[in-house]
Amino acid sequence: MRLSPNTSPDPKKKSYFKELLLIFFLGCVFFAYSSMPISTHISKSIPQKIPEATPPKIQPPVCIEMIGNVPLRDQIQTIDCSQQGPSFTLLWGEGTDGIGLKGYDPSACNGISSGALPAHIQAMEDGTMWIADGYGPRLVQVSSTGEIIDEILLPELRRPDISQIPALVGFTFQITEDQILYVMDTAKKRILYYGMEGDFRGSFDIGYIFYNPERLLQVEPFFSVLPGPIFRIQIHMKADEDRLLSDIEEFPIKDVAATSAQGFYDVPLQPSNHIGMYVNKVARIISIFDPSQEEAFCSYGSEVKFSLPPAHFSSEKYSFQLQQIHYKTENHTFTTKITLLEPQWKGGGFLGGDKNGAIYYWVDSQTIGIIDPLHQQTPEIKVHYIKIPKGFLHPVAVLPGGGVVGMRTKKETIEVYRFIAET
Amino acid sequence: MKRFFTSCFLVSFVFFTLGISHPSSRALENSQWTQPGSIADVSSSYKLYAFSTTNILLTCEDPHFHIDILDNPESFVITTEKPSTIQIQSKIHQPVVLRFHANSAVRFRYADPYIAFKEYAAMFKELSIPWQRRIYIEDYLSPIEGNQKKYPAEMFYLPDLVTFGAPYTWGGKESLQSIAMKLHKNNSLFEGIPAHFQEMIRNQDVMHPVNLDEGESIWDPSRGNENPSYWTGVDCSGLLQQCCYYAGLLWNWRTAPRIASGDYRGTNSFSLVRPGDVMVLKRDGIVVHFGVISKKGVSIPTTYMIHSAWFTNYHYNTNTLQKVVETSLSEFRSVYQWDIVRLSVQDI
Repeated sequence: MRLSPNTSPDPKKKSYFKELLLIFFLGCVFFAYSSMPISTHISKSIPQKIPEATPPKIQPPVCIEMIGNVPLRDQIQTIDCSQQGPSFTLLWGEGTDGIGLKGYDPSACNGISSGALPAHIQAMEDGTMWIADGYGPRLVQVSSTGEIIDEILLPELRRPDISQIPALVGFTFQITEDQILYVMDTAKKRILYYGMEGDFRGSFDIGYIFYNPERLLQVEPFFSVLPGPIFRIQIHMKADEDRLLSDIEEFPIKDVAATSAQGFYDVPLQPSNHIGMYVNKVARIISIFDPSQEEAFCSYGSEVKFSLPPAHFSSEKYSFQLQQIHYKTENHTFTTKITLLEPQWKGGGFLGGDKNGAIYYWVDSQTIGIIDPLHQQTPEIKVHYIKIPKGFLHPVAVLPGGGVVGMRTKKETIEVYRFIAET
Repeated sequence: MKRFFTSCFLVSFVFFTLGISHPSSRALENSQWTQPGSIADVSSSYKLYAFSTTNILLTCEDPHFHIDILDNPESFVITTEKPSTIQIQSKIHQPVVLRFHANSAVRFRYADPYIAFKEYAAMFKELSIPWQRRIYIEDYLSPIEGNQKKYPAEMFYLPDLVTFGAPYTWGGKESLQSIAMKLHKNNSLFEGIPAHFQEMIRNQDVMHPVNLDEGESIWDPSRGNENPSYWTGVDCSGLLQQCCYYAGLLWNWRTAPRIASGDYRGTNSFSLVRPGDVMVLKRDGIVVHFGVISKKGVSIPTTYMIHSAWFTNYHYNTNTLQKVVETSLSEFRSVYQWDIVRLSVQDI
């Protein structure tokens, strides 16, 4: 039998062979990819995603470190406002066109039983201030003389089942220099954006930081917005073994397969880890921190961090470390770190910063400390105090030009105090 | 016949051999969970539940005291220099089943009961069952002002205002065991008020008798009985009292030494505070809330506590449904003052 010279392979067989080759190739890719450790995937992929919110060219950061001492109280210039009266009074309570719902009920044992106590305020450069009114909820703008001049309703914060009626809802907010209002919605675990006309512009769903949004258990109300915007938030997330790790740097490389565990008497648990993070608007993690070791705020183009002194300092001698980061331009920052001995300090936190870069903090229940911008400091720290009247003052905010504004809630009125301290 | 007896013997031998070669399995069935305290009956095996990262300490007057760990391969004994003291390190949430070899009572406690205390509270925080939502809308009235109703009566029966789960119950000092038993009922769908809600367990050991108004819990049949009890939870003091019991501390907050005092703006002796201390919140001198310090930070805002949130959500800068939560101390701004006390270790 003679074979025909044009005995080319059957086209069907040829395509079958090609398919086999393709399947073999895909199989090889699949096995190679799946055999790669999970941590390798993530650790390689994350740095590539981050630059979306970071400056394109980052110059080496300039960092100055020093040690400083706050003098004893009698050597510090103190502005005595302890006898000062309120600058103006706001009405609040039921039946008034003011703040809150019912008014303050001092006889109630369970704290504030019936009214929405203002929980948060922010003072603006034009002399007005915005008040977080829990009844509504809404933001109320008040003039420098106490007139209510504007409001922004925030119905998105209400529960869906009572979204049509005013409700008592707690929230925190921040207005940035570019006139964007950011509101934390802890129930739906998101940050809402508004224009200053109250126009809703969208939201950032914090759950999308994770591959599985159910991993996010709780969002804390306190947050800050850095230029970018980059959000500094604190969350509780599902975790398994890593809740016992002291080194949180392993997050988010270490993934969690288990989402529940058995507790005493086989009660189902959701082991959780408490973690802080900087994220941008598209849910990319910039960096993480331990919320029990660091406090921070951001205002007027600088971020101030407050943390433990470095390990080589005696914690008994040095009270805390301050770090001020100035975001001067898009691609240039400079940082000043001061490890500080503050003999009068009683553990209180930050109040914020003014537009001159001064840092405000609670020295004790009746004293506010003001530290000049850190890059202007010498080891003998320039600081002065404001002595405020006795009694509770809440909420409190820093005035942009220097000083503090605070509220004292009474039965049917809210007294607003302004303590001016030019820096 | 001989072959029959031989077979019987062999079968019995095999059963007997298997039986004694697995003592732990039988011990697991019969033994009870053991809490810190004195264990008088040292003839049987015990389950020690290590819910904490702190080690278990066992002491006995018998100089030849030793133990066998029957179950839990991940736990191991750490030798100590002290005679008649055994220290066991175990993974969190893992029971250790062991048998004592001692001729007198064995005393069991945690190496650091304060860490165990706050880690037991963390278990409540991590309960994966939903917490019941409490209604809180515009017609809220003060329970103090004339005992007015806070909600219209028909609202108690509106299912769309209720999230089913374990509610916060005022004075409801339920155990985790009872929570486990009731879980399936909590997850059931609403079909009117089930009969088991009528079951009332009155707990007299309530720290402060406020919020006893009708409607504070939607399942109250009458005023003053805010304790639906079949749905379960803990109040602020109930949480800590129960955590004390399991960790080996005394719930003696009234007489316990005061470590620090102040408010959110400044607290005297704040540097002495450590995890496991109890936060006693006051308003106008009246004790209104409790929590356990879970993390000690550099400042008050970076210090955290675990507590059962009895007040409604607006007060917190948050619109989240509250239950047993871990929050910064700085969420207790405005009108609160606080003492931070350290409870005593139970004498065993």
